[in-house]
Amino acid sequence: MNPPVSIVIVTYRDALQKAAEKKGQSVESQERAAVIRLSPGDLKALGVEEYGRVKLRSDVGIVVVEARLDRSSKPGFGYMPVSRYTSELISYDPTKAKLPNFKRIEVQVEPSDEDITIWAT
Amino acid sequence: MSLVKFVCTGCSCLCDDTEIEVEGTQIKKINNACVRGAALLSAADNPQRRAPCSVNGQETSLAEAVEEASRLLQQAPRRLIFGLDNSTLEAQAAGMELAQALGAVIDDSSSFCHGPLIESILTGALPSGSLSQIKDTADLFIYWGSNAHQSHPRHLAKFFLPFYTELEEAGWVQKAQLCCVEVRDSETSSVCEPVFKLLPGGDRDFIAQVLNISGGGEGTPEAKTFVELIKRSHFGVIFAGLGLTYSLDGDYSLFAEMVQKLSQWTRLVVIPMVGHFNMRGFNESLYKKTGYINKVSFASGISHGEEFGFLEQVRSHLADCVLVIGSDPFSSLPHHVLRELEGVPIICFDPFITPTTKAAQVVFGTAISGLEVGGRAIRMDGDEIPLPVAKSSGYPSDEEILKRLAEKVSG
Ligand code: SF4
Repeated sequence: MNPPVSIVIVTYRDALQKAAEKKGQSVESQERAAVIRLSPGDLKALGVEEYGRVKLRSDVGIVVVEARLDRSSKPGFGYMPVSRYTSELISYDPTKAKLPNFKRIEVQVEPSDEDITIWAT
Repeated sequence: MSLVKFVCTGCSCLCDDTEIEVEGTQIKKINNACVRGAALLSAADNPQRRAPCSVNGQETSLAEAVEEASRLLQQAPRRLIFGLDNSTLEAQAAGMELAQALGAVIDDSSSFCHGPLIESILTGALPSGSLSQIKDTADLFIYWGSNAHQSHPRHLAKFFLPFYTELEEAGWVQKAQLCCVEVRDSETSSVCEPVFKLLPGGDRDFIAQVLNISGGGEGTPEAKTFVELIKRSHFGVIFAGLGLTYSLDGDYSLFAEMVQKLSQWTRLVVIPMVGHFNMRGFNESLYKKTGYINKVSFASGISHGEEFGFLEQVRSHLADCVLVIGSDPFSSLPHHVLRELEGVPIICFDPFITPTTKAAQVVFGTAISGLEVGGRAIRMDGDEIPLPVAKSSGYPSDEEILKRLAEKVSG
């Protein structure tokens, strides 16, 4: 397996994911949320194909999500919709920053065989 | 069946041209709402999605829930009230009264998003304006750190696109320019020209470059183009999104300096792309009442400080009972902080079942503001919007429950 890659995650809003969540469509909502969009170079460095699974490890949490290709993404950055997945990774430490790090979550990304993370409802 | 006008409370655009066709209490048709607004309406009619009143997971009457909630609030020495951004101005006033009666801390989600920006506008540090005026007169629209297409899906359609064409000999031409400052390709950036693409976190540098150029110094070609664009405009508006707020870590001082500097060439205003439909209402109401927009304690008179922010209260175990009104912190806030709520009673108001209602000891299933309960709200631009009731429901309003709780705890 390829070694982990350091990525800074920037969160974004996804209207369809929010709509599915509101309607209680948990499968649709989860499918849209459990995703990280990475640059072609980072996917290659990870040795992961598009739709392959990756484990994201921040200093406060770990989740397994699906990797997607984002040709417009710069190497070293990844994009995820704001959701339960990102809230597991986001940290708040007022000694470092005033606001939680919604737009700069530092994670180690590695290929994973584990299932996509789901939480008991 | 009748067609009823409805002000959508799906976000702070507060679209007032949405309509629903109602048969009995069921919505049969929705006109003009976006995917988010339509999801709100369809969830409203889905009993599986609606939260009933409950105590410790057991469905109860409203009176029993009021009884238990007031008991929890009375026995806790340090209470925290959080949310109210999805409530009417009337309910917000009742929430603030309750906080005062309890000597509680009160805060809303602006304390970790647009708060500093709204504060700058309310204190006059940043110029702002009304969307109704802007949509007819502005000639430069800048979305900065905001993919409105996803966060406020009808924002462009309502406040930009249909109004900005005029007939020339060559045909219909765009009368105003739409551009954006963004870190990634988005639906909004795809209709903008030019797009100022930054590296994530690069906003402060870009602002510094713009300031430098505005003062006659040097800067990057992108920053020069940005200044030229401003100089050519007569009336520009910056729609400031969460991307900008988080990149600046809530410190808008350099941005305010830039806006002031650029205002020598054009009229420039800033509008916060507020998410929750009445977050601005909460900030304005609390500001009028206390002089602060959020993070207020009524424990002894009125005090304000970082320690009264929701996340800080939870992180540092400063609250013994938390009342969450119309907000869902367990969906999107840092879970490593929320784990600190273990053992702290949570009382939650929400029309829908959410991760936060699931974590709460007492739940009040409430009416949906703007659909099932009327009132007033403040749109993202500061305009007050009346919210007529569009259809009836058996659910109590936030205001009604808050007043009942206030009666109980003060009686
Ligand atoms: S843009 Fe906002 S207010 Fe307008 S219909 Fe969509 S969710 Fe409702």
